Amino acid sequence: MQSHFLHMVTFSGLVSTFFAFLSRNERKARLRFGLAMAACMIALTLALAWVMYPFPR
Amino acid sequence: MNGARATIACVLAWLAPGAGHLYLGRRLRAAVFFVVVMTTFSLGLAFEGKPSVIDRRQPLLSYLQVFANVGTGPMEAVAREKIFGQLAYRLPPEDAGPDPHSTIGLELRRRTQSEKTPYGTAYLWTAGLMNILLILDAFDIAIGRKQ
Repeated sequence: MQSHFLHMVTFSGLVSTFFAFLSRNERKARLRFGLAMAACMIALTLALAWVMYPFPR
Repeated sequence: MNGARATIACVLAWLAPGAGHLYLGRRLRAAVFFVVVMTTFSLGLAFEGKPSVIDRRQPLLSYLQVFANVGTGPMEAVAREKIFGQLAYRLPPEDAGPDPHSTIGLELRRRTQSEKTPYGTAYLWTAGLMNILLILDAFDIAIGRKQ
């Protein structure tokens, strides 16, 4: 796996699952928190990548 | 006795991810934490992550990196021993220059040149930091600060 994007999605999934179980006790709250955190991580990374696109080095 | 319970939970949490939570009766959390931390650690090894060593040229950063690695527990020591051929946590002085000589320095150089290593190293650090948070969480649960 050499894709930055796949690594980023995998990493976001693992980290958000971890924090969802660490910080929430109910099933629904965990699901909501985990999905929101993963979505934020991916969206912010893509936004940052877009901003940085004109500056490859 | 909360103190003894907290100590046992913390030690177990360091020995194996999720073991502290299992000891405290949090079975589901223990299973999820075990799977997540082990997956992250395994990805780190699969992508040729670099176990950090203390480097006198960058003392603060390298100490923090080693701390993150050690947080994973004994399995990190086993992996480190396999990778370097010895349980090394410090860069030998002869490797401080541009040309490494020891097996540790050569292995670090080889991994630095690999395209996979930045991913693997990030996974290894993350697994360790997650496990450190688990130790603190197990402590909070054991002393009754958290459910």
